[in-house]
Amino acid sequence: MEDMIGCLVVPRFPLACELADRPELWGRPVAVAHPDSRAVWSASPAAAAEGVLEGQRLSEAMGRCPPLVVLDARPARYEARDAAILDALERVVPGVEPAGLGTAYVELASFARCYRSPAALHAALLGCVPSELRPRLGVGPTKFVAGLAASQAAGQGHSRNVMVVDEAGVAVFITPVPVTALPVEAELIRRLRLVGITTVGQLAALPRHALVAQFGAQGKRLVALLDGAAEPVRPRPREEHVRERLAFPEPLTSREAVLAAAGQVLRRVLRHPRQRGRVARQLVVRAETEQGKRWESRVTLRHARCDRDGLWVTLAPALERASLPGPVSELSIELRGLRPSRGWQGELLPTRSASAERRERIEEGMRQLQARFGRSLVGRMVPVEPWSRIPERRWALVELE
Amino acid sequence: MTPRPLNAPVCIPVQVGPAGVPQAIGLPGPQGRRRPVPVTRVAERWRIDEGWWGPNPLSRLYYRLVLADGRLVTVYRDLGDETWWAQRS
Repeated sequence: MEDMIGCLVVPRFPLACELADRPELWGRPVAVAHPDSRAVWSASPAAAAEGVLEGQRLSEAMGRCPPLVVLDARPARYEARDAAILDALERVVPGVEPAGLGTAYVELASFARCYRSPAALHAALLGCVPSELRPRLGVGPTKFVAGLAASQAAGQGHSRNVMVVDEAGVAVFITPVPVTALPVEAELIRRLRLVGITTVGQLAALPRHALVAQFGAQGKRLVALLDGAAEPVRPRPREEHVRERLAFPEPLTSREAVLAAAGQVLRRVLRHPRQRGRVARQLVVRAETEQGKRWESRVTLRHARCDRDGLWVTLAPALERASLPGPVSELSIELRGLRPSRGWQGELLPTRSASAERRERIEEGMRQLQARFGRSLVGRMVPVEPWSRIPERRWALVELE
Repeated sequence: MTPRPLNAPVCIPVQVGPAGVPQAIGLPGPQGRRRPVPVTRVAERWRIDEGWWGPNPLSRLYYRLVLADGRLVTVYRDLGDETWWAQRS
């Protein structure tokens, strides 16, 4: 279990969520329509056997497979299930890296000793996902190998959908894998296939310097994958937040009703025990329809605050302007970026200089930008070669922390 | 964030005379559309050659131009691939 990484995958996550709700459709040709286009988002193995492919137009899919059952996507439901899985995983192992809907990497090396055997740890990880979603677990020395192991875990007689590839078995394991499984650009895969390289084994036989010379930065990535370079699991950032939601048995159709409900949810979220004595930096309001469609508005507050009136002034216009996707069956409000309130008081006699005040305002503005966009968008000019005769070499812009 | 070079050159269309001197340059107009602006005179001209000993040689012929509308702009011709670029100098 030295330096092992686990990859937990729920194959065809949107479809798995739908089939968990409608088990009578198991084994039948089923496709989930993409929420933003009339294309197939996820197709069942029975549908794939009839020629239904992901990304295919629905009309073409129906033509290829007339008994195909097409379901409308419910992205809000999938995201909620994915978030619940990530939360459950974090209770088992702290370092969890989300990698798209239904996929997460976990770092296992440090926690193997907490379980009586590797099998017990694997069972604990698989137990984070409802069994009806049929999760798979791949374990390997790198994220690439773990992901491949997870994709091959089922259907080969592995107990409880787990496949473990240890350091010594990596070469044998990846040799027959098709190059299409490599996490690199599609153009690079196309070029590899053009010259007759179809498996990872063929690729691994090539000199590394030739790969770098031919494919540049992508070639370096290929070499790193082939040589099993360490890819650390990057846990998702922990952010203090509180959330309250309100579900309505009768979906709300009027904007006045939605506003009244939002006022109620706001009162509840401000009464939340974890919110007491703290101020929020960001306000997120979400509305869901019965069909699982979602509307979301995210507002970064000018001043971190927790007073109802101040938050309502921000929230109400967002809801009044909103073009909701249908009658609202659930409304939720989330306060993010919570931190202890330091209080704020005006000064009778100014003690700071005008420049110190200006600097403080600039820093506050930068904090707001960082909260809004997740990274600093303000740069600082630094001299690189100010003496250079080439103008673009004189100064550079670096991120201002 | 990796350091980003400032004052990167912008490729522009340039109409040149028989001696290779710019006669009109295409600068973005109010709607972002490029319109040719005639050159009144060449205020200054200089050449930069660097890195000729290495794999990425750089050879530029800079012109500081006075335009018909009174603006002063700096452009250069990349002598490697014969393209024209505008840049603050």
